[in-house]
Amino acid sequence: MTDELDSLAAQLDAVVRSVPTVAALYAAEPGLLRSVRELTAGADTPLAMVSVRRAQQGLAIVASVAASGRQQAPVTALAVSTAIRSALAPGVEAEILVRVSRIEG
Amino acid sequence: MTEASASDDVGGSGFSLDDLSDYLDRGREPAIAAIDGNAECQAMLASLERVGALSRDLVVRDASDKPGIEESWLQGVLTAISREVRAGRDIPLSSSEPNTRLSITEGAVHELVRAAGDSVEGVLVGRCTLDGDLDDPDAAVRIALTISVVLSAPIVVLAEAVRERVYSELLKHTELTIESVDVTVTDAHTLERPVEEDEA
Repeated sequence: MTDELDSLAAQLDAVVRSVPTVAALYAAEPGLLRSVRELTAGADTPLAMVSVRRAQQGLAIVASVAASGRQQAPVTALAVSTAIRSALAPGVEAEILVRVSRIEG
Repeated sequence: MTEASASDDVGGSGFSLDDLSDYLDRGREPAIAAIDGNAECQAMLASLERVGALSRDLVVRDASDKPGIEESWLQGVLTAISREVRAGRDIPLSSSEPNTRLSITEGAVHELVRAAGDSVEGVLVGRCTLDGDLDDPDAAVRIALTISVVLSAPIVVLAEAVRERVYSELLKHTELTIESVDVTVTDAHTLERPVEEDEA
C-alpha cells in the first residue's frame, strides 16, 4: 500500500469511529493477511483498520464495524458508508463495502 | 500464548480459545491489538463472559444434591460458539447508494441470536443454526437453537420468551425473511435449594 493510501485509510479510521452508532472498528482484512502485513510493516507502524486499495475504477474501500444495538444495524452500515464517501476528495471514485461484523449491547 | 493450530485459531488471529480465556482472566491486560481489533475474537470474548456468568449461575443453583452442569456439556457449548463466531458469509443489506455494498456477517447474526437467547433469565443457548439461502433477501430462513434452562418458570414460557427475543432482534438488525425460530430445550435444571438442618 502506498503512503497515500495508508494515510487515507488512517483518516477513514477516524471518520468511521466518529459515527455515533459505531461501537467498534475492526480490521477489514482477514486475520492471517493482517498478521503478514504487520510483520512486513514492523511493530512500530500501526496499521489502519479500514482497508483502502486501488481498483480498476478508483478505490476499493472496506470497513468492518460493530454496530451499537440501540440502532438498527442496516442504518448504522449506511451511516458508515455515507461518512466514508463524504470524506473522500471530490471526484474520487470508490466502491465501498461496509460489513457489520458484530452488534454490541 | 500457545501456538494456535489452524483449527483452534480464532478469526485468523493466531490465538486459540484457551488464549482468549486467559486474556479474559487477566482483565484483557496487557492489551493485545491482534485480539482487540479482531471481530471474531471480540465475539468469542463476549460469549465467554456471558457463558461464564450463566454457567456459574447454573452451577450455584444446581449444586444442592445434584451434580452441577457437566464439563463435557460446557465444552460442547464452547465448541459451538467457536464455530459460530466465524464471520462466515456476508449477508447482504439493501442499499440504494451506487457503488456501495452493505452487509452483516453470518457470525454477527449467530452472536445476535445467542445474546438474545442468553438474555432471558436462566437460559443458556447451546447451539444455533441458520438454514436458508442467506444471499437472497426474499428466501425464507429458519433459525434453530437449543437452550438449557433453570426452571424459574414453566419451560414453555422460557422457550417462548427466547423465541420472541430472538425474533425481535433479527427483525431489528437484519433484513432476513424469517420463516421460523425453533427453540429446543435440551437441559432443565431445577431451582431446588439445599434443605437447611433446622428446616429438616
